[in-house]
Formats: sequence, structure tokens, C-alpha cells
Amino acid sequence: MTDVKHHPPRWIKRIFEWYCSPEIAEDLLGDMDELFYHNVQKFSVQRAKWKYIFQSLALLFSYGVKSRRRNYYRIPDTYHSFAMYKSYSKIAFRSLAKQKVFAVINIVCLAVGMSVGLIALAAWVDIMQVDNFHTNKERIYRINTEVDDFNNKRIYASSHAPLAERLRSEGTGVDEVVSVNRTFVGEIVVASNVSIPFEQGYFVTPNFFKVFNFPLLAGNASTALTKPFTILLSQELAEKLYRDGQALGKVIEIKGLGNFEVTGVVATHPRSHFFFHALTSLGTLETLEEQGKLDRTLESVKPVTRFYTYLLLGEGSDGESIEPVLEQFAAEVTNASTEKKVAVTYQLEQLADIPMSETYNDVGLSWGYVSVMIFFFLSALVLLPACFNYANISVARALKRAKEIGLRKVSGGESKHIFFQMVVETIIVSLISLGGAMVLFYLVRDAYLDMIVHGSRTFSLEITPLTFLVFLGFAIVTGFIAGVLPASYFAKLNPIQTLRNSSASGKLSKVSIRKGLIVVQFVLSLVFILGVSIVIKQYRYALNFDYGFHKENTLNVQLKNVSEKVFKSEIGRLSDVQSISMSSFVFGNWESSSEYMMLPNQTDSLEVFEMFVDENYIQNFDIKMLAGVGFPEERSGEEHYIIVNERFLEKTGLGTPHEALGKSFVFGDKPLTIRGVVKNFNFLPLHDQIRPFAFRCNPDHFRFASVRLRSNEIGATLAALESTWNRLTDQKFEARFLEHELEDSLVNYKSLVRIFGSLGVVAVTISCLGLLAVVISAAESRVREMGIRKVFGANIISLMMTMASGFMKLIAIAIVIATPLTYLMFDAFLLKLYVYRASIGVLELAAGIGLLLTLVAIIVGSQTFRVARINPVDTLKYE
Amino acid sequence: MKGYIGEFEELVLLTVAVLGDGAYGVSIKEDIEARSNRAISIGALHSTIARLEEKGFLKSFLGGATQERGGRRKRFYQLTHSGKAALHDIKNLRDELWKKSKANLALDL
Repeated sequence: MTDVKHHPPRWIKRIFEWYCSPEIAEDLLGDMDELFYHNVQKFSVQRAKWKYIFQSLALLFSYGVKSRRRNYYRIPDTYHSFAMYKSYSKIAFRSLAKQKVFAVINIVCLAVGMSVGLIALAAWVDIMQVDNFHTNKERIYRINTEVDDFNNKRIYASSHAPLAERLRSEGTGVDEVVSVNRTFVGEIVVASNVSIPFEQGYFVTPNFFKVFNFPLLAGNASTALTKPFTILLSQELAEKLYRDGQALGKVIEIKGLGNFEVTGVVATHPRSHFFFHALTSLGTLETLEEQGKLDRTLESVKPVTRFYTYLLLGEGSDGESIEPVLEQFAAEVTNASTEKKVAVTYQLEQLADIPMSETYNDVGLSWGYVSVMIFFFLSALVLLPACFNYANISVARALKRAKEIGLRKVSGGESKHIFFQMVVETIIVSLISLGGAMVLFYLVRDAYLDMIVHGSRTFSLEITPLTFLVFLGFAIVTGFIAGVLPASYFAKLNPIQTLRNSSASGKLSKVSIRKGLIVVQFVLSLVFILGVSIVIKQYRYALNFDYGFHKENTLNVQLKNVSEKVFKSEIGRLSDVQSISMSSFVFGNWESSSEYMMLPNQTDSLEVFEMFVDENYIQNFDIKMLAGVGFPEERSGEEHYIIVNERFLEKTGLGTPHEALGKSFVFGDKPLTIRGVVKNFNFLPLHDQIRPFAFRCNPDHFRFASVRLRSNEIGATLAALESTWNRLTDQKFEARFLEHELEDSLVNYKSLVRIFGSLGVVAVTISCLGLLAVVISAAESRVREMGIRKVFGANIISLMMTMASGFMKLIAIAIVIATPLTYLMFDAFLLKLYVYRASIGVLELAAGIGLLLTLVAIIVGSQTFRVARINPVDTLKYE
Repeated sequence: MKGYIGEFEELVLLTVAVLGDGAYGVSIKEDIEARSNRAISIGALHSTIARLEEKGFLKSFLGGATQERGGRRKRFYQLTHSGKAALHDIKNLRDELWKKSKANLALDL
């Protein structure tokens, strides 16, 4: 009798149900429906609908509904009570116990995925804690210098020493101005020929400790730096020098600098972006410069210096009051450099922002926003497949749970209750996984810290109560993410269907989502595998790269206090030494200096990298000369000549190599004549272009001797070299092979390979385990089908093909998506960073795909074989 | 006299009495509409029913599940004793008034 073709407007019903709960409105809604169906028969459908809407509105605002709502006492929901949680967790453990294989796979996957996330989070917590211990940290700012040479802008952490002086006298709203110079390095003399070097120390103004609250183990912070030639040692260094660490009041000698009185020991402190072993006063630097023991830098207004300026702003000041002073000084610095056309501006950076900012010329430790974000992104990429696995497996196993859910619904469980239960269950699983993840975290932590450059300095990755809380939150969030999909799926189950017959599986399997998840997982795995192989290829490429100079069997020896002549004559006598040359820096540590020179058109300036070498250098390194000759054997007192590379000629427009010979220009305040032109070679790391470059000949700058050896008996030669060296000086013999130096300069590649590789292994493991679980459950549900097929004469091979074909299709789709994706990603993004790079070859792609296919074939093959082999009698005996 | 009842309230109470076991929202509405030839809104009806319930003249209970209205149950209404008493009171009052005013109420034929 009811016209089921037409229904009352749903929206108004929704509003009604929202406004008053079903318990109080059931009969009202029923009345309305009944009237609607009567009206449909009497009038047009449209009219009936209109009437329904009007009636509903009249009812909504009527006293009837109002009084019902007023008198209605809602029984509080019990699903948030403790008893329900208890029940949920009990059920969760029972269902885990029932499906041990899947539970183990789920927990292992989540644990592995989460362990990577834990590392990222612990690193993040570490970074957040940096410099957290200074009392006035909100008011501390650093002045950064932005240098724009009209080709690119760079932000340097350093600023100019005279600027600090200016701020002290003219800056308003500034409580303290701290200057830091990071060139305080040296060797502490312990015995006549034993010295302990420290690699990093600062010259600081005496108010350093007023602003930065580094804890002192001994000494008085307010007076420790007032006198020149007083020194504060780090606890580590103090303990290295004196076994009991009691250094206070002792006098130590630093080689080449003089005697220092120890006025304090800085205790091991929480992480700071400062990293130092020793502190001394800036006054000491002044004296040392006056004595000529150090180069004059205090007055320097070169764009990039080794000075850092920190401000403690006054209470309530936002630094705006010093803007005019900064602008004024920036203009002065910009104008001061006539031949070096650069624009300098200053920026204030809050102390808390320093660890994550991308600045050049850092004062101590740096973390870098980009690399941290990349790691976060990568760990999310690893965690996601683990979450997918969980969703995939639980939906695939839905059949086993469907009856339980159906029963719950029949006995009054609402959708949201089921959803909540399933999410709680997932969170329980992820909390169990957290335990496993933390064990893994402990195991891989040190290895991970080794992977990143200076890892143990910049990160501790210790589990503090705070990190543990973050971990817990992370586990809960992960559980929620993993659980949302299966939970909403279970919440939607129709109780009638699940209870009537369990073979409603076709509808239960939610095939398309699961397939999608598998594809996404394998796309991710493939991206990682292919990425690793591409990065490895790039690494190998860089290792064997032809830099344009000879790199085998060349030993770079630090000259120290040995003179060039003595070195050449003494070391040159050794039989295995082929030739010796001198230079101001060595390839591989890329510490090249640069000068700005005016171009002939007198408007633009050009940054030219320079290296001071002797007459043997070019020959010694087999650098190809295109025109002209090397530096003359006989050095007169003054510098006359310069040898440039091709790029230099290109940029300056001095013509072909032969035309350029003999031309003169002012370079580094000196008039120099081009004496030769060399072929371009890579004097910068491979991510940089070949830049304009000049060889100059000035023995004052020589710091290294490059000894080319004949390639037999390297060990014996090294020993002979060292014993000769020890006759010449009491300094330590420090030498490295150029090849090792170059290899070390690829340390970033290495850590990239290792990080990418380990994440790849994790991603692949997770995806394969996930696939294993899905294949097992799929195979199980088709046991009978396979039995029937077998009875009808199918053989094992064809059965396996039947079962495997679906999965193989998915993998094929994943490959089709992942291959171009990886190619484009790496081509556009990662390798763009490197100007000189290997091309992405078919071989790497094929190898990666082959590896994945093998793994998949093993997983799918083993499970399908297991099912295909079963005797049909066993599976069909109940039919 | 306690519990004054209005005209529409009286009408509803009497209709509930007429319908007996079958008195629920729609049937009351349709019965009144049929007899009195006026359209009443379900909102007004339920408001009145709510007032009568508050005054204690009506009581209600939910019936069993139904087929035709999406399985929703009906709420059936019954007169309470005080409901009946109130109807009797008002009838007595009317009767008395009718008796007294019979002469003046004669319709001119």
C-alpha cells in the first residue's frame, strides 16, 4: 500500500534526527512518514513533499517537541567507560591471538616502520632542545649577513666586527652585544714534543656568559674573560689535559699563540649551536693581531668574516630601534668594497630559529631545515606502507570478524561504537609495535648517527621523558591512521548480511581499495630501490670522476713550520718520491679562497677562485696547459704572473687562450700578467660548476706539499717520509692521500647512499611482508576453488598461474607507475643538485625492478604452490 | 474546578476516547479533520497532546514495530481517569448551561 517509489525529502529528516534523538522522535517521524504516503496518494508527489517539509518545520518548532526534549533524559553513552575499554582491549588481544601469523606480520611491519619515525622524532626533539637552556633565550638574536653579488644571494651567519662596536655605542634597546670569533684553534703543549690540539674555540667578548648561560664547572663566569690571555676549557678538554679535570688556575701554552691562564671549565652542557673546546677573550685576539701572530681581521669589512654578533635585546624591544644602525653600516660596508661589487644587508635571527636555518659559514653546529624535512618526508614514506599493511590485512581478514561485528550491531552497537572499537584495537597494536620499534631504535641509533655527518655531535637521540611522550603520541596517531580505513569499513558492515551467511565475501573484500594500497606500497618500494641504485651509481661515478688532474699516489703533507726549501730538498731525496709541489689548499677539502675582480667593462665584478702554487704544481698534477707556460723557476720577490682557466677567459672576455697571454689586470690589489691558460678542471666539489679560477705564485701562502710517489711500496715510503719529517721538526706529521681526501669529500653521497639504502630495505621489507599476508589470506580463501579446479583436471602450474596472475598484474601496474616517477623525481630533484652527474641508465632501473620481481615471485610462488599442492580430497570432503 | 481544558483539547480528548485502542498521532489528526472539516497541523496536535499529558489527562505507550512507516513504532494514547473526569466536568457544566438557557437558545425557524 505504501508507494515505495517515493520518499520524503531526506535532508529535513536528517535535521529532525539531529535536533531530537531518535528515542524521542521515533513516533513523530513515523507519523510524518505515514502522512506523506497518504498525501502521495491524494496529491502529487511534489505537493506531498512540500507538505512534509512544512509539517516537519511546524513540528520542530512546536511545543510538543520542546516538551519532549525537555523531559528527555539521555542515558550517558557507556562506550567511553572503563569497562568498555577493558572489553575492547580483551577482544583485541583475543583476536590477535587467534590470527598469530597476521598479528606478527602487522606488529613487525608497524614496528619497523615506526622505528624510522622514532628516529626522526627524536632528532626533531633534539633540535627543539638546542639552546634551550639560556635564561633570556627569547631576547637573544644573531645578526646574519646577506651578501648579494648579483649572481646569487647567500645568507651568512657571520657579520662584521666593527658592526658590533657600532651597535655598542649607537644601538638603543640593546642590553648586550656579544662578539664571537671562531678562529681560536691551536695545540696545547703538554710536554716538549707532545701537544693536544683542539679543533674549535672562540674568541668572545667578556659579556658572553651574561647572555649565554653555559654552566661552569669551575671559575667565575663574570670575571673569567675580563683579562687577556685567560682561557676557559671545555670539560672534555680539561679532562684530556688533566686526569682529575682540575684545570683552574693552571697556565697552559698554546703553540704559536702564547701562555694562557685557565680561569674556568665549561661543564658538559645541553646542545647548543655553539661548539667549542676553549674560550678566550676578544682582547686576546686584538693583542695577537697586534703582535702579528694572527692575520688582521678585526677591522675587516670583507663580505664574509669569521665574526659573529649576538644581541641581547632589551625587555620589550623587537630590534626595530637598531634597524637604522644596521642599514647605515650595511651601506658603509657595501660602499667600502669598490672593486668587489656586492650588496650587504643585515638580518636579525632569533636564537630559537638558528638550528633550523640555512646559513653559510656557521659558527658551530648546523642542522639545516631542508635535510631535516627530507628525512621527515622519507620516514613518512616508510611508515605509510606499514599503515597500509595494517589496513590491508585487517580488511582482508574481515570475514573472520564480520560475525562478531554483526552480533555487536544487533545487540545495540552503533556504527560509531564499532568504529571506536576498531580504532582502539589498532592503537593497541601500534602500542605493542612501539615496544618493538623502541628496541629497534636502540639497535640502529648509533649506526644512524654514524651515517650522518657529525651525527653524534648534532644529535643525541636519547630517550628522555619528553621524547617518550612524543613517541606515545606518535604511536597513537599512527594507530589511528592505520585504523581509520578498516574501522570505517567495519562500522559500515550490514549486520543482516554478515549474520545470514558468511559467503557474502565478494562484497566484503573491498577489492579495489586493497589493490590500490598494494600498488601504492610497491610503488614506494620501487622508488626506494631504484633511488638507491641511482645514488650508488652517482657515487661510483663521482669516485671515478675525471677531475682534470692527476689524483693517484699523491700525498698531501701539511707543511706546518717546515720551510718549502727544506722540505723539497730533504723529502725530495727519498727514492720513491717522483716530484714535489706546493699549494695553499688541496683538492678534496675545497677550502679555496676567492677574490673579486673588476671586469674590463668596469661595471661588473667577477668572483675568481684562487690557489697559490709553486712552479711544479701544474706539472705535478698533470693539469693540461692550453697556452703559455708555467710559473718561472726563479721567483723574484714580487708576484707578477697569473695562470687562469678557460672559464676565466670566457667570463672576462679576454679571448682565446693564445690571445689572452700577456694581458695584464689588477687582481687582489696586484697588477698581474697572464702567463698561461689551463684546461678547465674541477677544483670545486661536483655539485658545483667549474668557476673562474686562477693559479698564483706566492710562497707566503703555501700550506701543503703534494708529494707524488712512485707506486711501489707505499707503506715503506710513508714510513721513510715520516722519519725524515721528524728530523726536520717536532710538529706532528700529517699527510693524506689525495684519493682519500676526494673520497672523504663524497661523504655526503655516502650518507645519502646509506640512509637511502637502509630506508629502502625497510620499505621493501614492509611491503613484502604485507604482500605475504595478503597472499596467504587470498590463497586460504580459494582453497576450495583450487580443489574443485584440480578435480576437473587442472595441474599445479596452471593453478598457480590462476592465483598469481592477479598479484602479478598489480606489481606490473606498480612498476609502470614507479619507473617513470623515480626517473623524473631523481632527474629533476636530487641529481640537479649535482652539476656533474651520472646519467640514469636502463641497467639500474632493470636491476631494481628485477630485484623486486624476484622477491614478489618468491612470496607469491611459495604461497600459491602451498595451496595448489593440497590434495583436493582434504579440501572438498565437506562438500 | 481543576484542570481547565480548552476547546481543541476537549476535541482531542474526545477523539482519543472515540478511537479507543487505535488512537495515535495520524489517526487522531485524520479523525478530527474528517469530523470537524478543518485542517490541523501535526505540530499543533502534538503540542496539545504534550500539554494534555503534562496535565495528566492522557497517557501514552509505544506500540509494536510497523511495516508501513519504515518500521517505526506508533505512540498510542489513552485517557487517564482524571482525563475522563475532566471531560465529565466540562460536559456537566455544559449540560447545566444548556438546560438553563434552553429558552433563549431556540433557533428561529
